[in-house]
Amino acid sequence: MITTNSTTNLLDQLLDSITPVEQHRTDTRMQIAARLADALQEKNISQTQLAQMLGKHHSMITKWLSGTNNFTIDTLSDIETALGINLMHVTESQTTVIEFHFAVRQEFKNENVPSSYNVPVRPNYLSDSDPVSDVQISMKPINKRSLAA
Amino acid sequence: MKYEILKIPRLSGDRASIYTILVVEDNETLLDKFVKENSTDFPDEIKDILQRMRAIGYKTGARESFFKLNEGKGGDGVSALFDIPDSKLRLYCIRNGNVNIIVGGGGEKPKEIRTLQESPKLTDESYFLRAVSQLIYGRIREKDIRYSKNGMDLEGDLTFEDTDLHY
Repeated sequence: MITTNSTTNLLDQLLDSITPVEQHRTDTRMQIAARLADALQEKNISQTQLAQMLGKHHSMITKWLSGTNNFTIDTLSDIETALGINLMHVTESQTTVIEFHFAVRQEFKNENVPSSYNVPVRPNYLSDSDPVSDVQISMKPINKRSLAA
Repeated sequence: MKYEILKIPRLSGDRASIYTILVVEDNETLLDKFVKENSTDFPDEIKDILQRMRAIGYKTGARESFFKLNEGKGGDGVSALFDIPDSKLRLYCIRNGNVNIIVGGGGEKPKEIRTLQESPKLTDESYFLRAVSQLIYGRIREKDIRYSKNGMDLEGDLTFEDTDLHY
């Protein structure tokens, strides 16, 4: 694959001049347009039908879907109501947090209890060939009665 | 003249790869030329176009509705970035699904120009991209060019000359 930085200084300068706020505005417009397009496809509603539902000209729907439209809150609200969707809360990505709960039990003679202990862990989404990670666990002695409980 | 299809790292993200065409003798790409020719007269439009291309690369992919489709012939993928009403510029590209575009040239599109044929500059840019698209799809058929595993990148023989193009 050829991957070369082909940009000239001018193009670089222009890209550098785009502030995060400006880029975010464009990103949001285009993400809303993408979400609207997905909703129309999922609900099997044509652009013409949406235009009729909202009393708009077809060309307006085309502009909405182009990613260039600066929507008003009222317009977004009307579209949301008509289609039963949420357009205003655009999430970039979802983070999945995997939380592990496991019990580790090992008996030591009182004088040899370490302050921490490394336990090899292989989550079940890894294959046997994946490297095993050690998880360091802080040790806190408990008496046998509480252990039994 | 020799040409090379190049990826633009600063515009390409995990949603789409953005390529352009380097004119080897000039050491300048078609996107560079477009920016250079229009950034003085239409700085806001140029900036908006770059922002939209970056959003396509990093956020949304190259969705159909972001383009004016069928600017070429017979499903060759030649499109134009959507013209904002009252905008003055048109930028042509080859859209390969949602994940890959090759940005070509473009130019000023005054509103009094009703059809493409009335603007020699836009006509030339459009017909050049049609020929490039034909070349690419021919090479894909011959397996001289292939898509990467994720379908976003072009691999293989990405260089060509004027004599390889058929108008």
